[in-house]
Amino acid sequence: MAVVVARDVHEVSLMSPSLERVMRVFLIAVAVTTSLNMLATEPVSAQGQLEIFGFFQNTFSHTTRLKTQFEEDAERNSFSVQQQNLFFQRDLDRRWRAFVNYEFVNSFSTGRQWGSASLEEVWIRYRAGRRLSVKLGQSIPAFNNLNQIKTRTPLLPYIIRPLVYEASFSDNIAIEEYLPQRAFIQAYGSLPRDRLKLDYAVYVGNSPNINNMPDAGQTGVDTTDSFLVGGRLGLRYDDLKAGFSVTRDHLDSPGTLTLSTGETLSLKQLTRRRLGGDLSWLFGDWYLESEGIWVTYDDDSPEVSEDKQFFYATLGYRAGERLFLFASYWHADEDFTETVSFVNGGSSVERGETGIKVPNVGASYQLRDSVILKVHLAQVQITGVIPNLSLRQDGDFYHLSTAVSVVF
Amino acid sequence: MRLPRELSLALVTLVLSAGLLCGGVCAQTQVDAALIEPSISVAVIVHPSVTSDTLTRNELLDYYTGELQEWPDGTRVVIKDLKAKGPVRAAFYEFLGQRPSRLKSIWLRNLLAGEGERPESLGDEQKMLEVVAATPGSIGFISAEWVDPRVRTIILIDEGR
Repeated sequence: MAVVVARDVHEVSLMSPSLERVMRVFLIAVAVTTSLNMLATEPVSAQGQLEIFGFFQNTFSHTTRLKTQFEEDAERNSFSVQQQNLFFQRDLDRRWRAFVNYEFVNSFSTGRQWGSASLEEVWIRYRAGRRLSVKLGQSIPAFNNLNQIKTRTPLLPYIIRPLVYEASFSDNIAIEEYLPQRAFIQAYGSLPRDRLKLDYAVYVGNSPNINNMPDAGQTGVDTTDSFLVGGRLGLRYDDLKAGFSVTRDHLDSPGTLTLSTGETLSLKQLTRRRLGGDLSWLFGDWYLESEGIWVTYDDDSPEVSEDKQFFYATLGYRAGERLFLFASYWHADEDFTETVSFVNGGSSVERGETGIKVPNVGASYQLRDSVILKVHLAQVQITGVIPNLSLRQDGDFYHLSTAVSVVF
Repeated sequence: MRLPRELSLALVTLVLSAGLLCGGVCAQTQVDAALIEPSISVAVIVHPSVTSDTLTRNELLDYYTGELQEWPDGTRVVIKDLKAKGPVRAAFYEFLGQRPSRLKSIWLRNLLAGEGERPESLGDEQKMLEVVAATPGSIGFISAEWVDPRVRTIILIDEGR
């Protein structure tokens, strides 16, 4: 098990516990006020029609063998239904909207035990205007450029999404540690001043549960008294957009780590902080988009670390109304700490680093308003190092995909 | 299949070169089209129930991107687009400072995020006039010569004057 512990207790705090409490109180107050406001002022009015719509993305992908000095994986050629989302939406009156988002990935079939299905979003939104909207219920938190649209494949030129946004990389990258996944109260809006707009979002949610560890009793119910608290603050000036995002939560992992001193470190209440920065700029036919994410953990042991960094930059070019070309570079670095067992029976806690680099290019072509064709070529380079043991493993493979993304 | 580094670089170069070439051709076509277009007046029209007298270009853009979804009196804004390519549509988008593909992308994002709808795209100006005249809160655009008392002009775009 890769455990997750921070390097240094004295790292600069991105959000103090008192600020976290203030944000939680603020968000709950907003939620209550919003509800009371609605009850007090809105007459019962005719509901809008129930709207059902969605999208899917079918892919064909070819993955070359993962080659390392120790092993070679199999080459893969496969068609798949990469993703299908189904939305149900209804306006309850002019300010309130109910929205449900079901997501099915990887050719989902219960009979064949393929893929997975999930209830990604279930919220009701009160829109007071552009300056303030509030979502109550499970929603996707605002964080950098892509978090809220990472699953909306028709909006993205990529087939394989930038590393931490790509669910299929979850074997290699702890993607849920980079990004806040679920909020349950989220307030957001935009404050304009001429052509300059200040965007904000603040949210609160559960501390994350490790939902791929059912043996550890993970049920989707947060049994801690800690919360995810976070937000994004951004500026827009015409087509130039920049912002920074921050979250604070607890690891909430059932694991422990035994240090070389014999001390046992609980990972249940380990504080995690994420800091993100994003920039995007549309200039004529060119489009630049980039993000950085830094994840740190509070820990009082200098011998362990699991800090993480992720960066991506994409340069795109719109060639006419239908064709979009891009070249992109993604880079993730993760520190990890593991208990290494030796053949002679001994063991030690060791720090290591994993790096993933993905230079990639692709194109998308808008065949019709609701049909997008895509092609994407990525070279994935993976490096793992444990310096104290002089262990190093390098591997790389190519991933070539074509896809059709359809909105219905 | 093992793609050597040289082949990858060749593919990258090919894709970007094709894009630049195509982009250049497309851009030249647009420039040519703009040169031969006669001057045209486009009216941004609203349903008579809309209380606003005029809009700035930025406000119009905010309505068309879904950032503003209500008129000042609280009536819901219903935006309309013109399907047919032509000088009226071109002049309207040029006034907004946006490519049609950009707005379509924004509308799709709003739709899939549960934040808005894609506007109805109408076949011709006659249809646009009829729909705006019949839909409270609606806003659209037609050639100024088509305007009649059933709608109100909120912006007049004088292209080429």
